[in-house]
Amino acid sequence: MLELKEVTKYYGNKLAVERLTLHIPDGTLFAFIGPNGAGKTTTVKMLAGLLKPSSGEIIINGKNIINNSLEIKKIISYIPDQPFLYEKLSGKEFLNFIGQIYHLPEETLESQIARYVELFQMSEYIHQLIESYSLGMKQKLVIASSLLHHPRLLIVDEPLVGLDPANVRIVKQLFRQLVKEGITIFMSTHILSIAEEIADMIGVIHQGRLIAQGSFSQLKSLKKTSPSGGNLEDVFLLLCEECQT
Amino acid sequence: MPDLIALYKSKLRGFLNQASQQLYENKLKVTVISISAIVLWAVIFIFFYRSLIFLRTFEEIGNIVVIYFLGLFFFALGIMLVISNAIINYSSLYRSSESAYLFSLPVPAGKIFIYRITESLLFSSWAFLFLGSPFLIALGIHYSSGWTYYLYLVLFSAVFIILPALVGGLISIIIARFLPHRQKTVLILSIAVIFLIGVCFVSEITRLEGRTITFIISGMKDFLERLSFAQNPILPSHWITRGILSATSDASESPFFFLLLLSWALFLGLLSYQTASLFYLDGYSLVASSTRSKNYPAVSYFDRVSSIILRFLSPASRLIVIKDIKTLFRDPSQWSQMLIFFGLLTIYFINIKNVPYINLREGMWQYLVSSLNLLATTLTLATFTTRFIYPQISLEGRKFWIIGMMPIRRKEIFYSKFIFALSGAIIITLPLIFISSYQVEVPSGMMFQQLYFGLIICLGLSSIAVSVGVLYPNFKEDNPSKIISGFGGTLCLVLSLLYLLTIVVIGSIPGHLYYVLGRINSNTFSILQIISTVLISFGAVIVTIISIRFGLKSIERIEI
Repeated sequence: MLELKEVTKYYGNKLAVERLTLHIPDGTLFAFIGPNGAGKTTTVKMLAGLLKPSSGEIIINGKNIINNSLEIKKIISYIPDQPFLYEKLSGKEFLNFIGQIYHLPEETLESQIARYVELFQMSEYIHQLIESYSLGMKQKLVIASSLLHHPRLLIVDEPLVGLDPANVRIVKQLFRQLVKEGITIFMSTHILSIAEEIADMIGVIHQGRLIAQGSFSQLKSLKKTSPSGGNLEDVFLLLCEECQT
Repeated sequence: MPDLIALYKSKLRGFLNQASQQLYENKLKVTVISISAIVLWAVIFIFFYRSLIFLRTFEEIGNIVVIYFLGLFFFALGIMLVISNAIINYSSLYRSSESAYLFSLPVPAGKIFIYRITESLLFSSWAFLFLGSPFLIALGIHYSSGWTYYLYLVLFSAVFIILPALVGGLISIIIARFLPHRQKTVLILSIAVIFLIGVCFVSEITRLEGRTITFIISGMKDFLERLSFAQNPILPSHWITRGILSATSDASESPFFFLLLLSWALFLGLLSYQTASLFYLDGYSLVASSTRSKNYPAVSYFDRVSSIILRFLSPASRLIVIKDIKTLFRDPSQWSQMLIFFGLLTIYFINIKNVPYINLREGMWQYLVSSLNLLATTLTLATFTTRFIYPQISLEGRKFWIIGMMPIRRKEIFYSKFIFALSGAIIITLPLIFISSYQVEVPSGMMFQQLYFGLIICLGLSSIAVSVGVLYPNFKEDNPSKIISGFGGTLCLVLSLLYLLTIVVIGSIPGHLYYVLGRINSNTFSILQIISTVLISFGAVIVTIISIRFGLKSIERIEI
């Protein structure tokens, strides 16, 4: 579904991502972790088509994103870390707007909206202006809007920020459900426990370079952290420390 | 097309939601702003209508003046709209989170461009529609034009404002795509070019021809000839001028000029759409990938000098003022327009002696020219206090907690903003008024009076801008152009202009009666001057105190 070939990105003279190569098959939840300034958001923005790689190729569904950006955007969804919302629209109006942009038939749109409003328990405030929503309410709305058109690839940057424990669980279950349905999820996150819990594959990026990738058990086998094996946090910190030295 | 419709529909829906919310929650605010706006509109309308009646007394030359004025009005407006559209478009196309969001949706870049520049067009052109319409409607009434004039007025105005928006958009696209790391250089060069054009214009109309003549018709014709560049037939300002003037009578030429204007709007629309389709996304990526690598010293020379100059302030207030000055000057797009306008006014005032059509040794001309110079300077100041001072609190945005959490009282924050505004206004305005008075060689009494009027205008305008900024902050917007386009910005401009015009009108009455109409003797003139100065001082103090009290109350209530 998603392939990155030797992707490099410079900001002026500063190297942000260096020769990043990844292959993520259909129906995989890929967690992308790394310290601050490692290049996670830059990679996510390149995948979403907002930034062009300085070199290398990004292939989504067999097509290069540079030459087919519009076609690819129809089958992907992007949830940024600080999502933009039209604050003077109500939640329902915003979802209608997104549905129209993706040319969803009215009936499909209505049923999809009803599904996610119920799932995220948004019915109480869905007709109120978005400006009155809390951070968590906004985040649920953004996630709902990103799923309306049944994307094949979901690119998310810190998806659980601002959500309460109940909604964190809903999102985790939803992501697993989506993956079962064959959707690929590329998730950049700082919350290592979530990555450990729900990801099929984990990639660790440090100073723009991919320093490790594989399932959690594969990563654990790379680094012996403690007699009991340790958790993703231990593995992650060891990998980063090793890179620093 | 359906996605463009969906975008416009969502924007319209958002606007309607906001309007109904304002009408529901802030009836008093909406009423006050609406009434103030209507009063200001009516004052401008009456001013232009009376001016047209006055010009009619000069018969042939009066009509010529109207034609040249209209041409110059649209010419200057076109240039200003191109500049403001280019600046607003750049920020809206490349720096806003909405553009980033739209790029993540399956909407073609060309359509995002069209959608975004429509918004910029409305933000940059509302002032023209508000301040230009009284003149154009007065023109129709003056010439007893039929309904077709007003129809053409709407059509011409609608198409005319599209042209600079498209040109400004094209400029932004080209700069972002081909000079993404040279934005400041381009901006500074543009300022220099516009400034040079302005200097040429000023020196052309003030060129001495070895004679000093009084205000006579031949001199006026000669003067108008120098403005003929605005009548160049290749300029859109000429097309709209001819079309509108024709519509005041039989409208025989109006369809041709309207279609000419429309064809250019369509051509530029197509050109910019295609250019945006090709380069907008590339440019967006390049701008987002550019970084500023300049290091700034922790404590600069500027900090040290400012700290000494601002020693009279408390340390916290001083820090806020220094922070505001640095923030303003590190973003040239914020102050470049101010530099152009005040720079040109300075050159004009320095050259005022060379204007060959007026005799500055006559008391009437000394009085008229210095008063008009005061009006021009303070009018420009009013637009700039609205543009730069009003958004100060709003621009703190979500960062307001930083100064909100500081161990200082909020009233200190208010006064630091006020001091920042007042010092800036005084530094710009008083030297200009002094240059003008000095060059016009007004008697010292008149010079002090002009300087005093300038000072209290600075005081009032600064207090109005800071207080309205605190009363109606917009913490959700980070683009100053959009902040000032809201209710608060409109209210600030309307109040500033009303305050300014009231002071200038009251201050001008004695001089008008004595110098222009000759209806009073010098003793009565002196008495009236004292009365008007006392009245103005009293009014200015009241306005300043009321504004500051409102501002101080409001800043305590601000919640983020």
